[in-house]
Amino acid sequence: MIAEFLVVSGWTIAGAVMLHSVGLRDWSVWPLGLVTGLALYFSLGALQVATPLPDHPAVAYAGTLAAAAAFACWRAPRLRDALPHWRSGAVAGAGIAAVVMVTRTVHIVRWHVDTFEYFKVAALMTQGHLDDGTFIDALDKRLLGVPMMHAPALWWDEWYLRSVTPLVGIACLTIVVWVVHQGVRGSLGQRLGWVVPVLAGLALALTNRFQFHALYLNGHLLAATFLVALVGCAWLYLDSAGVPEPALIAVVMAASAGLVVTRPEGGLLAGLALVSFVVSDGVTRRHRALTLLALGLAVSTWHGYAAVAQARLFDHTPATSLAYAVVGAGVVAVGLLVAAGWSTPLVPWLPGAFEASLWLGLLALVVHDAEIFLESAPAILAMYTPIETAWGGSLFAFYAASLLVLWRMRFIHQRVLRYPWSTFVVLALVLAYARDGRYHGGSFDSLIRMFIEVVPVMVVFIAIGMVRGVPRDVGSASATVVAAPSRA
Amino acid sequence: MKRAWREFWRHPGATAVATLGALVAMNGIQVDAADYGQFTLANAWHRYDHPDVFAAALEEDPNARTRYDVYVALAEIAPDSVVLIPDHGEARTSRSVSRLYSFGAVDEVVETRVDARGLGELALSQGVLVASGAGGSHGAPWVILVDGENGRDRGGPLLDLHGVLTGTAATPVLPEPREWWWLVAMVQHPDSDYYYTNVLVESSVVGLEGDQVLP
Repeated sequence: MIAEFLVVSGWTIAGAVMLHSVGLRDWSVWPLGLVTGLALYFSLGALQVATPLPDHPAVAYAGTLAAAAAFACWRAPRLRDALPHWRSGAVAGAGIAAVVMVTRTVHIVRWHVDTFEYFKVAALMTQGHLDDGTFIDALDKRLLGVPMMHAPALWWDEWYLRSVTPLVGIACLTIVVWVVHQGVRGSLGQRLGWVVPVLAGLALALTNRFQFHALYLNGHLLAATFLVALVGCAWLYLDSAGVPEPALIAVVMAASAGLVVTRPEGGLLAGLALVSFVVSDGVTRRHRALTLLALGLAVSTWHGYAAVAQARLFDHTPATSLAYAVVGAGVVAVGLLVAAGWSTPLVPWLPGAFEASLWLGLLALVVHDAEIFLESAPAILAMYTPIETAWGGSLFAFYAASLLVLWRMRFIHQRVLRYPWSTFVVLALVLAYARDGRYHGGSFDSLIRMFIEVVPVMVVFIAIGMVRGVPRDVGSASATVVAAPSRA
Repeated sequence: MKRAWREFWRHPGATAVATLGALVAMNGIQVDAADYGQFTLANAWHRYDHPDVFAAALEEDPNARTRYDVYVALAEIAPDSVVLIPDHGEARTSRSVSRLYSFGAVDEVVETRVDARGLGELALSQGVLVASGAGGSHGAPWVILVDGENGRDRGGPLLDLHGVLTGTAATPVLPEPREWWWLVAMVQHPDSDYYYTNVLVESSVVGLEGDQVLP
């Protein structure tokens, strides 16, 4: 119990210290700290696996703590600038301890055959067998995030950390509340400025599938948490909401890198979420370059390794890994060009072109081979069959409310909060083609489980859109939708 | 009252409060009242209160039970004497290899491609336990035991390796001699794609003798 508490606290403190060092001073430093700490840990692990370094997760864990300390020394010469206030730390520590204690006592957990695959990867990584070729089929399907998150349990002869998945769920909820609060507090009074965020958090927390995923040993909710942290902080940055920009950029960078190594679709989700951010005028050249480099390096490192490793052991390199690696390298190149002062590629129509290319790409795939699409269609329509998918009416209601906001309202940098969910189904179908697999429907179907990845972003979109948005028929005169001045 | 109602809707947060409140009510009612056969607060303790995920696997999922216990049993029966021979050279074979690695049941991998008969012969020539094939990740498993003398399928719930393996299925013929028992854990994929986990076990190791017919 103590060991698990120390491990989870280590990730949280590492991330919190980094974010506090770059100016984040409120309570969000703890949930965002867990997200940032985990993302840094995964990134170091990916680097270990992709290079001749030893693969043992303890190396990445030690590296995470060391990197956080080094970062704090660099950014915050004074100790008090690096360490969050002891009172908030005590509350966060007590919360983590309580979750560890409860989850280790009541053993409430959900698992699935996929769970074994993640534990297997964790065991292989710990035993140093990843490079023997035994992990090959998991490279582009299981990735590293979930195995690494549970790998420390192997240090004391257990298979998984009881507390970390529920803690990620709590982090997801609190991040949603915090982002919505930051987004609406200027428009609402003091009291309502908290009512709306708390209602948003409750709407998510009471969702059947959210509770399921908060106890489910898999990576969907982890990906959802990375995504809502990424998108929420990106939007707050553009909104000039008063949160220190370096802290927001640090979360965006960490969350996008973490997303890439957590789920196969993580790279696409992060890319789609970031593309509308980086082309915005409100982003400085330095921050634009940093976010592009974080995403590009994560994608090219991990998927490049996957492509090379599979080419080494099989007769061919899977197209998905290869495409990811090439695109990742391209994003790195663009990031370097932006850093050097060249901004031509980042034209405003790029997000629209990306979205259109997804739809056109899917159309081409369906024309080429309609079977996967036709067989997957029932799974998509299953959104409307509450019993079969176990979502109840929640998914339909979230989509309906989001579409209502999209249809009736517009608000500043709406696209940043819209992209992840409005492109999700088509992205999932393209992914089905890329993996040569189809969706079958039912509560354990991949697509049905994957929907949780975008639902927290939808909740943020609904809450902020309904407060900050103005009806489309009002015209563009309202100051609400006027973009923040360029900082480039 | 009417005025207060109008005032409420003029407030910038009114629509958000109403919509989110409706979502809270809807989700709240569903999560506790609806039974989707999945997670609800009402049955959470019943469905999720397991001491360990693997205990849960053993209790609830015969597929996971077979896969896991075959490997654990192998490791217990013959530590450091299991050789794994991938028989297809495909991704799903490496999945089996890695699974065996992860459970500590393999200490050597022989890279070769052989058919079922060749696998048996190779195993016998090496005088080792052999695990081969891929254990599937879907569907229900069957486990069969084949008499090494005539390849007769013993059928039925067959092997009490550790009280975990059950089932029956047709099987290819195993070459001589009879002191080897060929354990085949066959997992049926929903698309009728069959994966195999084949294990040659020396009869004395599993406590079986001669023509003993298992129940």
